Amino acid sequence: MAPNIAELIAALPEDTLDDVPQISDDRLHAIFEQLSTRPVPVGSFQRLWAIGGLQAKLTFAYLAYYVRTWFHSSDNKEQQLIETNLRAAFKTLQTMGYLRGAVMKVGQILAASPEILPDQFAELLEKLHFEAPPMHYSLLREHVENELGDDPGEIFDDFETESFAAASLGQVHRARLRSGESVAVKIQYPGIARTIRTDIANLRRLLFPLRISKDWDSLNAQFGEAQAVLESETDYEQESASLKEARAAFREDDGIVVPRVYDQYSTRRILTMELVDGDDYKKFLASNPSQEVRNRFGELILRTGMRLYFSHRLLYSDFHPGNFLFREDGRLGFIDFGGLRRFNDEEWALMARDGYFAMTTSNRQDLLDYIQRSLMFSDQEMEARPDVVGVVEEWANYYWQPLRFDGRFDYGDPDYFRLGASLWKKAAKLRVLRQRPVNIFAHRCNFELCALLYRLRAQVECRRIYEEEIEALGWLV
Amino acid sequence: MRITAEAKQETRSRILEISKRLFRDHGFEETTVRDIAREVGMATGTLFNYFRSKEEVAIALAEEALEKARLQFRRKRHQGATLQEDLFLHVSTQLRALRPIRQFINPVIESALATPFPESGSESSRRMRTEQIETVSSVLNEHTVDPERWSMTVPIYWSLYVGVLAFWGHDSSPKQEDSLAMLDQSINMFVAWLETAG
Ligand SMILES: Nc1ncnc2c1ncn2[C@@H]1O[C@H](COP(=O)(O)OP(=O)(O)OP(=O)(O)O)[C@@H](O)[C@H]1O
Repeated sequence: MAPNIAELIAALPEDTLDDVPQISDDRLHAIFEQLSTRPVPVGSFQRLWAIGGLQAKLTFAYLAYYVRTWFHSSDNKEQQLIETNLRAAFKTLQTMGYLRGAVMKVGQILAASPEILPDQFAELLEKLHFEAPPMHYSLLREHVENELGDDPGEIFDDFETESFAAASLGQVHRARLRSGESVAVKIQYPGIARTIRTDIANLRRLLFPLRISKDWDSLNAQFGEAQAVLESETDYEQESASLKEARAAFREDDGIVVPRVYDQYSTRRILTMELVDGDDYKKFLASNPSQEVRNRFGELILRTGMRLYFSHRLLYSDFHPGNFLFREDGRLGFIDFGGLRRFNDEEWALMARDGYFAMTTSNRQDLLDYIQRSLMFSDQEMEARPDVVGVVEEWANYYWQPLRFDGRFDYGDPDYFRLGASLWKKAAKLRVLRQRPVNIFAHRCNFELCALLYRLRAQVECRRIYEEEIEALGWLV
Repeated sequence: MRITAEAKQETRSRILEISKRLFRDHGFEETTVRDIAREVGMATGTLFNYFRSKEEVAIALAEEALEKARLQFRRKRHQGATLQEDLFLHVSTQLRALRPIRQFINPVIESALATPFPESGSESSRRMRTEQIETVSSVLNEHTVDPERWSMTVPIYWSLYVGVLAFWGHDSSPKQEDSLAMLDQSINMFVAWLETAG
C-alpha cells in the first residue's frame, strides 16, 4: 500500500519525535469506540450499514425477519432470550473488519495527502490500517476453484495451505507448479476489490455534504486520483501487466530481479508469479550488513525507480520497504507493482523534462517559472503566496541535493532526512500540493525513497546513476 | 413389481431433467406444471402422482444436488480443519452442487427452508432440513461445542444459512464471489457467537 506516513515517522531520528503531532492512544481509542460500538437497535441498522454493503444488510434483514416469524408463537421470555443473543451476534458482525476496513483503505490514501482534510481527521485516518480478513483453506480452495477451475491441490504440485505473507487485500501462498517451478500465489479476498470501489463511492457521498474545507473541488479531484490508484492496486491483471513491463525494463546485469508471471494460473483475483528469495528489510538490517552492501542495495533501489521513470514514464509510488527483497547473491528482488502510475504526455513533459531543465540551469527565474507552472499559479498568486513558492523551491532543492552531489551522497545523514520531514509537514500545512494530484504522488514517491534509503543508511552515487539513466533521453549537454 | 418401481424412478428422473431445463430456459415463474407434463409427454394428472406442484419439483432437484454435496463434503474434509473451515465447507459444497439450479433457489427456500423446524412442509423438505441440522450438529459435536447450547443455536445458524442461500440466489458479482465473502463472514459470526454465548 502506497502511503504510509506511520512508516516515515518510524524512520524519523528519535530526537525529532517530539514535534511530530501525535494523537494520543486514549483519544484514538475513544474515537474507535464511537465508531465500533454504536447501539444496535433495529432502527439504526440502515444507517449503521450505509457503508456496510449489501451483504450485511441482507443478513440483518433476514435475521430480523426470522426472529419475528419463528417466535411469534413462543412465549415472551424465550423470545427475549433469543433477541439478546441475536444482539450479541449483531455486535460481532458489526465489528468485523472488512467492510469498514475497505473504507479505511481509502482513508489511508486520503491521509497521505494531509492538505485535504482537517488535521484531526487525517491523523485518525492515517493510523488505521487496512487488512483483508485471513482466508482459511476451505475458503481458499473454493475461491481458487472458481477462479482457476480446479482445486489448488490439483492445479499445483504442492500448495502450502498456510500463507507465508499477508498482502494488503489478501494473502500469499507458496506452491510448486507441475512443471517444477516454485511460485508465490497471491490471492485476493473474494469480492473485496469491488467492495472497495463501492465504498469509495459511498465515502465520497458521505463526505460531500460535510464540505470540510473550501478546497472541495481539489478534494474531489484527488478522490478520483485515489480511486484510480486503488483500482490499479486491486486488479491483479493490471498488476500482472505492470510486472511484465517492469521485468522487461531490467537487463540481466542490472542486478534487479522482477518475478515472472504465470498467466495460466493468474486472474484478476489471483496472481501467480515466480517465487523470489531474499530477506525482507527487517531481516536484512538485523544481519548488520556492511556499508558496502548497504550502498549496493541503496543504489539498486534508486536505479529501479529511475529506470521506470525515465525509460518507461512510470512513477513507482510505493517505495515501501516490504516491496524489496535483499538477496544473498547481491541482487535486489523487486516484487510489488501495485503502485505504478503512468504519466500522460503533459505530466511527463512538466515533471521530468521541464523539471530537469529548470533544475540544471543556474538561473533562479527559470526555476520560479517552473514552480509557477507546476502550481498552476497566476502572477498574482505568485506574488501573494511567497510562503508556498518558498516551500516548493526549498523542496525542489532538497530533492536535487543528492543529484548535484559529486560522489556518494549519504542518505543516512539524519539532518538531511529531518529537513525532508519538516518540509513535508510545512507543505502539508500550506496545502501546497493540491493543484495537481501528480504532485502528491511525485513527492510521496521521492520522500518515501529518501526514507527507505535513510533506513538503510545507504550512501549512493546518485548523480552517476541519474546520468546513466537519462543518457538515452538525449537531454545531457 | 420391481420393474414398475424402476420405471417409476426413471420417469421421475426424466421429469426432473426436463423441469430443470424448462426452469432454466423459461424461468421458474413462467413454467407451469402443464408445460412440464406436455414436455414429458404425460397427462397433468399423471404428473401429480409424482409431484404435487412445481415447487416440489424444485425441492426434489435441490435434494438431489444436496445429496451430491454431502458426498463432496465428506471427500473434501481435511484433517486438522477448524470449526469455521468445516462449517464453511459444508455450505460451500452445497452452493457448488446447487449451481445448476441457482436461478430458482428462491422458491426452494420459501417452500422448504424458511424455518428450521422439521414439522412443517412436504416429506422431502423435512428430510432436507433434518439432514442439514444433523450434519451441522455432528460437526459441532466433533469440535466439542456444548450440545446443550445447540437448541438456542439452531435459529441463528439457520438464519445465516438461509441468508447466504438467498443472497447467493441473487448474487450478480463475478462467479458469485460476494457470496463466498458473505458465507465466510456469516460463519465467522456464528462461531464468534458460539464462543461468546457460553
Ligand atoms: N514473487 C514473490 N516472491 C516472494 N515473496 C513474495 C512474492 N510476492 C509477494 N511476496 C511476499 O508477499 C508480501 C506481500 O506481497 P505484495 O507486496 O505484492 O502484496 P500487496 O498486496 O501488493 O501489498 P502492499 O500493496 O500492501 O505492499 C511481500 O511483502 C512478500 O513478502
